[in-house]
Amino acid sequence: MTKGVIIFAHNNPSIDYVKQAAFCSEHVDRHLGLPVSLITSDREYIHENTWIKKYFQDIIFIGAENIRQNKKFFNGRENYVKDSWHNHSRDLAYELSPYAETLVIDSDYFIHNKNLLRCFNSKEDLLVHQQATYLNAQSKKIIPDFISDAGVIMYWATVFYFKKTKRVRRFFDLLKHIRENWSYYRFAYQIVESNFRNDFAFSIAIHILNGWQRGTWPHKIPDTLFYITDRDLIESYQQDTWKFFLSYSNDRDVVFRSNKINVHVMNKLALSKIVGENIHE
Amino acid sequence: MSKQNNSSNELLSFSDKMFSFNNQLEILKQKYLDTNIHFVDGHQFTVDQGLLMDCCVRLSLNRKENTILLDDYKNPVVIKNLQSFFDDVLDLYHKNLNQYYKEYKELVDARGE
Repeated sequence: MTKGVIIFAHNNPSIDYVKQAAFCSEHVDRHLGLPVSLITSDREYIHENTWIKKYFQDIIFIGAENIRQNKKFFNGRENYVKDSWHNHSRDLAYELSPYAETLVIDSDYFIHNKNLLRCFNSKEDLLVHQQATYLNAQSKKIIPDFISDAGVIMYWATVFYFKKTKRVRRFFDLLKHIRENWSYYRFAYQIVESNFRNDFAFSIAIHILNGWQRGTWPHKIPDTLFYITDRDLIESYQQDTWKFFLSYSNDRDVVFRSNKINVHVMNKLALSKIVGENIHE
Repeated sequence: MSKQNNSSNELLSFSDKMFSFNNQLEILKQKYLDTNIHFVDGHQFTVDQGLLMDCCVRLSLNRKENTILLDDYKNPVVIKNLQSFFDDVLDLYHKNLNQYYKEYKELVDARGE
């Protein structure tokens, strides 16, 4: 059985997601020793930066999205840019993955241990995170466990594992259907946010496939999904250790040094600087 | 700056330091718990005192072969050789506990008084 990792990356004018994916891939290689394939719509960018191919086993090109959505990308409490956000291709993972067993990770998720290798020991066909833990564990919960006040339990599309089975095929078909009919599902599940989010689509699809109720499928990924938000700052990154300034009140930050934990770094603007310092031609 | 202001600043600085320390400790605990996971035939077992005690009791009753245990999702799993399973999980538990202690001590030492 072939095993590997896929990363989706679609650049926007403010953030070089492909370069981020290269940085992410370098971590996968070092800690998991698995091949990484990139799925991107940035064909021209890859042709102009052929050196980036060395970070991936394969680069799979897809067409650009015809849906445009914008969001604010924060860098700390006050600074932000408003830019396009391309996240509509995640449901292609099943048909595009060259692997029999696939781990899909966001380009801003950094691996610092071997915990995720345990997914490949599981008999389950889909493993998804059901909860995320903010690195500022002392503060109030920033991201709720449900997709809306009266909604279903939240699942995370940041990292997930799948085998190619009929049930997982159905899951990805349903994700595509939800994306194509987002305005309906958003209304039906009382989601306030107007942008399409893969996390929400995952949560809705899992709810439907469990018979419109909370079920026992899929199991959780055997690891904790740690994250920092885009309101937190990155002070430094050196030899697999991140130093963050986590925001905990209007004018105070708490320092956090990560040590061998996998972490989702949501401040993409600050991350771009770190990536630029570490990924070169 | 007055003596009172100096004292307040010192207290605030100490409070920030303790906040940071407690936070690091909380994440370290979670990190340690994450490491104690063992798979057998595709089934997930979280290695904790409960699982270890369960194994000990069964081994002491000489129920070593084809023992049925419940995995993390309460599904029954046949463990062909319980002694071998127990050796594996105990080894993992001790290895991770040692690492946890090492990192915990580093954190406490770095905090100072």
